[in-house]
Amino acid sequence: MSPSNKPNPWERYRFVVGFGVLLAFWIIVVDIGQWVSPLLVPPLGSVLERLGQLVLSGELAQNTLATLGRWVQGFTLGVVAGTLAGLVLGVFPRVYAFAEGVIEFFRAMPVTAIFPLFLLMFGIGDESKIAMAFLPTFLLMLINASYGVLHASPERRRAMRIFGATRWQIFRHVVFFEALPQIFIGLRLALSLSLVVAVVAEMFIGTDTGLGQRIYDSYLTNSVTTLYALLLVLGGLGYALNKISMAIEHRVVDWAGKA
Amino acid sequence: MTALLTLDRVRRVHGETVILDDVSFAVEEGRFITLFGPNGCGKTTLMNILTGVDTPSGGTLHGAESVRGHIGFVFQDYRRTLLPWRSGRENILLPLRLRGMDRREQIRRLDRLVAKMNPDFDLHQRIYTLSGGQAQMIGLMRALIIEPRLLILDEPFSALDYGRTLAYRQLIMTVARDFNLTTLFISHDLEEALYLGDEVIFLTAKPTRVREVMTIPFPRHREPSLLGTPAFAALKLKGLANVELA
Repeated sequence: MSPSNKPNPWERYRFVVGFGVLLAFWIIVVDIGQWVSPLLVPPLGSVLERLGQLVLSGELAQNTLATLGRWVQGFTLGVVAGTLAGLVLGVFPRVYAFAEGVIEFFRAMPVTAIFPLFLLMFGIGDESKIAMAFLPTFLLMLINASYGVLHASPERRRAMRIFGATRWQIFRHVVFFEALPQIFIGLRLALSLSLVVAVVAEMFIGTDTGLGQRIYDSYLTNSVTTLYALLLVLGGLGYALNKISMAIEHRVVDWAGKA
Repeated sequence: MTALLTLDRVRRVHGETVILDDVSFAVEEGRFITLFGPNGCGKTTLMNILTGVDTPSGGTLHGAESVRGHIGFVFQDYRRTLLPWRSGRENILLPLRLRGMDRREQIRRLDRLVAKMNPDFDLHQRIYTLSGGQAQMIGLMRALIIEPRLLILDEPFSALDYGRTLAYRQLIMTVARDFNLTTLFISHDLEEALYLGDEVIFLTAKPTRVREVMTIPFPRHREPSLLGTPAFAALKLKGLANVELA
């Protein structure tokens, strides 16, 4: 093995080291130096103590599950519907050409601006928040799946036609797989965006559970330690979900970029 | 000798552009025919017509119906026509799978082919882990698995180095002989066209016509040492008269 190919022993600890430096900076600036008002950034120790209280009381689990429940429903529906619609549009490029303007119109619109409309349509309950997670997921999946199909290798399609494959066989054996790497790109983009939108939707109205609601509540009651504890949880949750999706992507489309 | 395929004044026109202009030649059963022509001369269009992917705008293609479904095809850009998400073995079996052949029969055919071709690498590997030569071997086996009546090879060695090309030329000649195949080999390399073919069909630049059909005097199954002989040099000189300087 050449020296450049040797695995760097620090590679796997990069996240821990990076995060450790951030926390050390926090301790030096806030806990030791007291250069920042605790009303803006509380000491790390008190944030971790509050986090412990939230865990032990079961409050954290309850709110995390509430957020995840809404997000999973909107995200899953968006992935399934968006991928199917994208695959169909990709197979029929003429239809896609007509739909492209409409898709771009909705994509350019900030999702949070549509929330009042969703409140009118679905009410103040969970449905409007699920719809908020659904919409960006649907659009991102649709765009990426159709792009993947439209850019499937013409050489492989020709080869399949020479083998006498039907249109369905070409789709099933070639086009779908060609679109998969792009579908996974959409999946990762949608995952972060829909989680953000689901949390923001909880801040508005109509719920007394969820991480977004608890964060907004902490702001209203000036409970800065709770606010920071919940932000740490939310960051960790987003990071973990992203890592899981990347691991699945590496497993399913390990051939991407190598063909 | 019976003609497997006969092209009689085949034309293909796209809009205002004439791609094939009255192309006529016969592919006789058991013969090794090489088609030699410059890049972009419409060889792919011709192949699409022979395989039924495209239809001619004029002229007749005799015998096409009897060979459709019995044409094995080896592509120039093998990496872009193999499926990287499948193993070498699954790639070879794909044409049979598309025909809905019984799985046990598929495996029987594969075992027979492996015994004949004797690949020196693991067929269970994914395509992207294979070398260029190994991937092209998968492409060749995928063409042979259907037990074709006509084998078409579209510039299959253009991405291989010279040493590998020499080895694969020998392999193709052995395969054509052992499988008793009628072979249509497309090339833009004059040495290759003359070395492999029983007959070389020289094509013009677009609009494509047949410039000349040259019969090669050497007996079948040739060795690379032939390339250094005065007889081959003389043949190459004769062939050069049909090459258009770009």
